[in-house]
Amino acid sequence: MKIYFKQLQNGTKCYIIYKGGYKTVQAVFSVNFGSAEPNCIPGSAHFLEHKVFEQKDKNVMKEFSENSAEVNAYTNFGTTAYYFTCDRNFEENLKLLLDFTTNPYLTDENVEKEKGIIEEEIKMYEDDPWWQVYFNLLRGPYVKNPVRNNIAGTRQDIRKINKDALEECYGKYYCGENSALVICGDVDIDKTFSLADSFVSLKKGEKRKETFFEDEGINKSLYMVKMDISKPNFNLGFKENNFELSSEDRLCETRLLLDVICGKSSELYEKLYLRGLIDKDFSMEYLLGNNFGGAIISGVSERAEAAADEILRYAERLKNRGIDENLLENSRKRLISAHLRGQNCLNGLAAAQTDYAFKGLKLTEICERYKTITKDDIINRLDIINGDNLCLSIVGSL
Amino acid sequence: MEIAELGNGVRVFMYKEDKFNSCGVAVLLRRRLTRDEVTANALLVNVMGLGCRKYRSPAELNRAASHLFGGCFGCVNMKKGNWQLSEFYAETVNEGVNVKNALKFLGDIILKPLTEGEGFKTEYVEREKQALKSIIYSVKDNKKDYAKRKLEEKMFIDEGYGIYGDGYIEDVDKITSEGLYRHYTDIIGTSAVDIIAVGNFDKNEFLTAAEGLNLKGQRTETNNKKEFKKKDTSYITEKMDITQGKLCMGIRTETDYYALLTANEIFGGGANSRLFMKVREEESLCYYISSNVVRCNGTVIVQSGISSENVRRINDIISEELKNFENVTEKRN
Repeated sequence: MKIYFKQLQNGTKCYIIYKGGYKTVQAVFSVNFGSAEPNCIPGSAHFLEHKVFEQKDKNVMKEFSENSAEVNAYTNFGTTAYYFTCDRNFEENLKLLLDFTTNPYLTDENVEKEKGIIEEEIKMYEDDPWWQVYFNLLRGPYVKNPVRNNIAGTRQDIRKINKDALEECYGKYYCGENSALVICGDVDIDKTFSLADSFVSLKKGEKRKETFFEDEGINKSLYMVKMDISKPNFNLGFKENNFELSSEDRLCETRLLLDVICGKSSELYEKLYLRGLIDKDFSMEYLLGNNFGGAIISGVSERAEAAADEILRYAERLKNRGIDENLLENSRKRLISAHLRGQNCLNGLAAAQTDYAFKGLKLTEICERYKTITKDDIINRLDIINGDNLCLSIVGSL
Repeated sequence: MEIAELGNGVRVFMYKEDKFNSCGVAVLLRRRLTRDEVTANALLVNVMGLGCRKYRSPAELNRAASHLFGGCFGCVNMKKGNWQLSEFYAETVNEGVNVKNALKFLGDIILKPLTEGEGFKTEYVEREKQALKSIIYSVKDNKKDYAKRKLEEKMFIDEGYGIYGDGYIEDVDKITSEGLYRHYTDIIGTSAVDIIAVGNFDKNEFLTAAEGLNLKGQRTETNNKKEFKKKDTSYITEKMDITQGKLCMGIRTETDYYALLTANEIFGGGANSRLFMKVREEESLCYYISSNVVRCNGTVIVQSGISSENVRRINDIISEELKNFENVTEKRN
């Protein structure tokens, strides 16, 4: 695997991830505009994602389908992304991708009509305990930071959105300097760069500026919501306060720390599992944002608070007694292996590169960073795991 | 892909590909899905995944996986069509010796389980009984899956496919660690055994390692398609305190599998399908609607999240779209 980079004539950052031998190609066109955008009605980025597919004189779904491609889109905190996967007609599909994202056709009528669909989408997430527990967690540490808003907004939010509001967002954020194109597969590098350069038609514009919010301390440390499910879900979060660390350090060091504490090789994971404090659904991640972040541990438990206590106590023990060299090496090996295995999948690779494009991270350097993290780095990172910095979100029949 | 049959009835599937960063290895014990043993099988594979004689606990197993082949492993219960599979898999990062080590590691888990007296380690059995009950109860948590499960139970009542692949609550408590161990000794020589490798590895070396496991495989007939009797449409409705209703519809077909796949793609396969265009794009009645084909019995399953007041309208649209397919067939004939 090798990654090539070129800035296109209109400012779009273009990355080609070369994967020799792969039969399908995926291309993702994205803008640095997501749900955590402070200067618009919550849910705008996601609403616009739905409407960008609307064209005056063509049916985007049908055209991709006729070119044997599948097309879809997603919105997360910082990005709206449009992508297709195909095993033939790559050139036509790329042209279509770069074309339709430049020419949305919005009318009062088609914007109104979309509200029914988005309402059903919001309702779907309202019934989803995993989704609820995650977004409740994000309301814990933040009052101002819009990362706490639902991706699609609320039903009330979307009723306020109209054609003008969407056009304003489009005009502001859909521009060359604020966009990225990631192409992943077995493609000819030079030819693909020049195709991209000739197809790209989004105007130049201004790069979106990151807003920083003063959200000190923790707003709400325990968030419990009743839902009729068989066993409660929990998300345990530890808020990031150290934005002096680089994105890469925050991501890699915290992931390694989390694996040392409660990864599958750890004493603590075994204890929590065998005592029934957690089930097999158990995972850890570092949520990386430019102006937010945190370590998140999620699982299923009747006794989430007891599990959280055990995790805190174990972190305290590591602070006092230090970290066993062998266990650290084992975790390092596990993370590097997981990272390499993850690179088998075009979807995951393209999504990661899209995300990293707006966060100043280099996909190719993650592995190197894992290799060079020292025991002291991990001991320092342990500061994030403490009781004053914690939010616990639980959803279940409490 | 290359398929080899070992002297002991075990089949080995080798898919050599050097484009991946890793190698996947799996040993599958395959049995016909039956109400009698589904729960025991589901429990067994999970108990075995907690420890074996050599690596006695989850932490020991995971450290060994990292140390021996730089990867991960898992032991999972699966339902595929009318079959129940116990899958023991490992994934390694590329380095020659790793694949052999991974297979040997799986062999330790499968053939040298951790025992106590006449049974498996009681602590592990009891823990996994709790875990299995949680899994069985949790089917109600995802309403989309739950609606599908209810449909499958009703539609395939006379066939293996109607059996719930994770087993039944009332059977979990009856299982003892001794009983489970007896079940283990029963199935270990009487299941179909498939060993699979995907990635960059040496075929001969892998075959030798597979042979070295000394597993016994039982030959089984894979074609078990059952005739079905045409029945009137039946409806199941269940009320729940949720925001969005879930619709699930099953349609039995008798046609060529590939023709069916193609037809399904047009009917409800993707964002360009008839159902998506009609129900979502034209009438804004849902966020998702799609259909897919159950491979083992050719049933088309439609799923959608809807507001309850729209059930009848959506039902009508689906039926109309289905009728269009009947017309296509007639015209062709």
